[in-house]
Amino acid sequence: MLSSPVWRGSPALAFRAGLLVGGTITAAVLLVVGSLLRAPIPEPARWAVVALTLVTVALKETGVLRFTLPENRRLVPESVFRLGRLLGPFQFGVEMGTGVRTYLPSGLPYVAAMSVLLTAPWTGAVWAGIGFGLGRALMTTASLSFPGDWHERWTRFRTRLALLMAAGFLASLLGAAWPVFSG
Amino acid sequence: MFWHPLVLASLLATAALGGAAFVPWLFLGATAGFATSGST
Repeated sequence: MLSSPVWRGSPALAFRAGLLVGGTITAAVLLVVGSLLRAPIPEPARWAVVALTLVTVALKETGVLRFTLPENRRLVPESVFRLGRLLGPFQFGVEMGTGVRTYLPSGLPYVAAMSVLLTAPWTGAVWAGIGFGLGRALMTTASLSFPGDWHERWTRFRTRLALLMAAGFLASLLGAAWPVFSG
Repeated sequence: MFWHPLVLASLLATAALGGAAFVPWLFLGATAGFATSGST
């Protein structure tokens, strides 16, 4: 669907804006819910839960553990496009950007969500939401700009891609935790 | 070939390694978001 000529110009920009908004919405919800959950739990214990989530997801991704993470296993309905040339792609972007309205073929968003839920300051939550939208927007931009089947390439190199993203994610998580444990 | 998934993933991971000390939450979200690219 994203390879269609419809996804160029202003509709593509509206879609990307929607991705950023969607990511920020999810981060805001996690922050609000998290502010209630955090109160009785000391910060080191909250980071321990994040670390446990990371290890559990890593074991699942490597096939050591077998279980299913909660996931909305369907595509965003095409009915969103009834809203028009710009609002349709925008809503599509918002729904994809939230990360809860369609497939999530990686475990990293679950660890990110747990991190925001239990540990992020409000600025960190906003950055994480924007970053999530930017990450998904990067895929859109790349798949539209790549002279070939971008998703086939993704599938072909998925193991190396997963390792690269895991390395970047782990460095970022350590960077987020560093101020807590270094002081 | 700038838009090749491996090139972008390498650049993003490198940026995350360098930027984790400054804007860790941004890169935490970005790497998690880009990792879901197989979904569409």
